[in-house]
Amino acid sequence: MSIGFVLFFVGILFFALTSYGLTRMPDAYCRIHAVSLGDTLGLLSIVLGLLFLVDGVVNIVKLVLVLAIMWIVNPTISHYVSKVALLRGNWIVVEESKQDREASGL
Amino acid sequence: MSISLAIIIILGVMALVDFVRAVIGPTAVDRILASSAITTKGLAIILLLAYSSDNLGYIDVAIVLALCGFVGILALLRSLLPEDADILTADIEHRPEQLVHFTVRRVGK
Repeated sequence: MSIGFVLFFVGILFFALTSYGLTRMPDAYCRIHAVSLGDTLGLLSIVLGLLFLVDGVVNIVKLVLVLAIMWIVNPTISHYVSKVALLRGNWIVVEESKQDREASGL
Repeated sequence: MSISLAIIIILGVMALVDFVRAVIGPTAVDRILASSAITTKGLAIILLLAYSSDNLGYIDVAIVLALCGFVGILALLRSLLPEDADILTADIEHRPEQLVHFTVRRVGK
């Protein structure tokens, strides 16, 4: 009973990391990374928690079906988003510190 | 039961945070990415709602939302793809220094 709720909290931790990355990351490719990994793992944790709490074979099969669909769909979408971003010319942010500027002499 | 309701509210707040990125996102790709994240959070909200309201038929709604969200986002991305995508894909491997854009941001002192 309680291991399900523990997995729920792990799931919302991953979802919170997704929202943080989507809000704070500098360019589109970093955001794609955050959304892809965080959402996939967060949904895995929440569905695993529900598998401990829900009874009935039919409901468990449906939950595994949701998980399987999202685990195929989410990497596909992030791959396609990154391809569209690259072909449309989205910029990549490179951070440059003072030491780099002194080393390059600019 | 009330714990799952609290988790639903927290997920709703996170979906609002993602919606901020969908509004201010500089490019169209960011907006699509934010809508994808909102869809996944909505999926989790529906699954938790099915458990907390003890009405497990809602899981079917989650299956339909997963499939429809996938098709919708794929159609949006397909409309954003440039017309000469195949030529560009072959071109990027040969001269990436002209086609991939970099922005230098200065950090520190």
